[in-house]
Amino acid sequence: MGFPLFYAALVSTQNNAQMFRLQMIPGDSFGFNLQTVLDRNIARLMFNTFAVASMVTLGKVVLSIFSGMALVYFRFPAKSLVFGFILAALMVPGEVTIIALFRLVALELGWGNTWTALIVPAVASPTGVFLFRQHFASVTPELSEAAQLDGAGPLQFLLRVLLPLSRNTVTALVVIMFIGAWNSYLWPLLIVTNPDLQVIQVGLSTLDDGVEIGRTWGPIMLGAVIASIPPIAIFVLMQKQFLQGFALTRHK
Amino acid sequence: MALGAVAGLLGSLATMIPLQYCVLDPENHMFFKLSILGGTITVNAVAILGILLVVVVAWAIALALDRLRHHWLARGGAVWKADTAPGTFIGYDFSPWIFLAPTLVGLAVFTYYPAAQNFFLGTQLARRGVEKTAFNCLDNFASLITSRLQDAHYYILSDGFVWHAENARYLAVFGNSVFFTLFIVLVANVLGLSIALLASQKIRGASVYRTLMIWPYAISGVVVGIVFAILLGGGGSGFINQVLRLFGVEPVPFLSDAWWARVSVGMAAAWNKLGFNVLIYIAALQAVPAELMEAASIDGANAWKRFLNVTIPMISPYIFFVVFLNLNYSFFDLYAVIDNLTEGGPVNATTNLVVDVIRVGVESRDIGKAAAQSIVLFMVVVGLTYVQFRVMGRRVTYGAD
Repeated sequence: MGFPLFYAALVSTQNNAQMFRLQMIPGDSFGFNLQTVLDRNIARLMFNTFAVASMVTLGKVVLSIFSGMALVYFRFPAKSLVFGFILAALMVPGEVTIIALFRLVALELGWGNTWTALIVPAVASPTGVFLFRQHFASVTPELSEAAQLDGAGPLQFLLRVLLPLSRNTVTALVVIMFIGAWNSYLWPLLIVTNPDLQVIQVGLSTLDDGVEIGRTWGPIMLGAVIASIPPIAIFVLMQKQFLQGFALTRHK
Repeated sequence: MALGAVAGLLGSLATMIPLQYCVLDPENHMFFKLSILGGTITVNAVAILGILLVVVVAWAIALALDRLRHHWLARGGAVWKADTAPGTFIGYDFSPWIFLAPTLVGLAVFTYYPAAQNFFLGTQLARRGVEKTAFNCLDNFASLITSRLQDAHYYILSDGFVWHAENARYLAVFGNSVFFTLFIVLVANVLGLSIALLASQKIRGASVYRTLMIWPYAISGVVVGIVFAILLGGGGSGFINQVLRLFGVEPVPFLSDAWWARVSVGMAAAWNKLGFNVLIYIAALQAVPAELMEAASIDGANAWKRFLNVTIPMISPYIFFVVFLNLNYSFFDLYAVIDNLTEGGPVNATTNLVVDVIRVGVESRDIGKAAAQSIVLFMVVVGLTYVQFRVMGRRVTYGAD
């Protein structure tokens, strides 16, 4: 299963000639490849991706917790309508609206080439709201009744009781959201053209050294390996919570 | 009486909507000709698309109304009285709205408004970066299956074959999407289930297996595309082809032949999702009660029969879950893989619906036509969601959860 990425790691130490010779031992070009990706400012790309993905994840988690709480712990008219409004958005993949969204963000809002365009449209998350609503609904109502009897308001209840109880759900959501945000490609490709603001997924193909005819694969593969380290690390470390998160979405 | 008031309100609203007239001009490009069995049939593209659109939208609305009605009845007629659920905070009338406001505003502005805007832009002549748009009826939809008059003129002058190729283009793109979806769902599920069956035989070191198996899931589509490009690409000097040559196999044109390129994209995407499927199937197989399997073997069922008659029905909810996830992925999320592996080529052989939306809307700057294509995508979503509801609904009746 892991062979393709293993091969990518191997190529990241080689030059084109070694790669096309099908050399199966590490080559001698690792230093050159590393220098190339550093010159192409991979550090900047990684930092940008980390910053954007973190802000998107944070925004999603916070908004989802509040919305999930509103849907479970409060009474208000048209609640099922509001929930339906959120659920229906869950069904629509971003690709369906991307052309109109591009027009809206770039033309009507004038956010082209900003991180705002990468972060703000992404933070309202129907998936997250759904996840937290299901989780909160599975928590026994006696807890919030007891909290009310003790005179706690909703915010106190959230901070003191609900959040400590929801650590697994929060972790699951963080893992899913962060990997999703880290790997997003199409939207930044469309809305950001300034290389200083760009994210790593779009920047990978610019890691070429531009000297050889065609692509120089060594630096690109090194970039691909570096770009894959954070999501794989998070995923492997938090596998259990991630799976629990998926189990949650299945229990309707 | 209330009905009358609503009707009156709607009536007054209707007169306020500026009407845009849509004149179907037969001289224009609304018709395209099909040559079948020597005869020529003239087909009205707009009529077909319009009827399809009306049917699908009406069907979606009816479905939604029906669901709402069932919901209403189940709750005894009063929707929000039933929300006096235990454990709710009493006396907070505004805070839920404050909690919900960012999410609701975000969804309204960045999901629903663009979705609605698609329907508007679909009927407009709209260019990327230009604020002004002009109404052009259903030209954008018609142009999906027939070329515009001026284009046709151009093509007839230069090359009759190109004109035909252009006509069939969108259908071919749709076909590519369907091919990818079938290929990925089939490969990722048959392989995934097979590997899960093998892996669940041994219990020792299961967590290590699991980790080794699943991590490709965390890799982005871009990296998948780039890595498969060095494995499959490079003509005869790519990695796989060099390995094949060692065994005396002729080089395979993985990325330069139309069908091989489609298969390559399918393989790359299936590899990306395979580990996740394996993981879910392992969990599913572990949930099959051992007593059932034992009972089946006592009754004389062999391994294959046990698999077919016990395992498959027991894990069917998981199969549906994985198949629908894969379906959605392969229809909508392949852009990064395709863009980095084949760039939609050779000659559009691997251009799917989403790639074409971007080609038309962003690269060719034709926002109107891209919006029309997005509406077609939206119809696919509605269809998939409907099937999903039907299947999931049936699942609940035999209560596997």
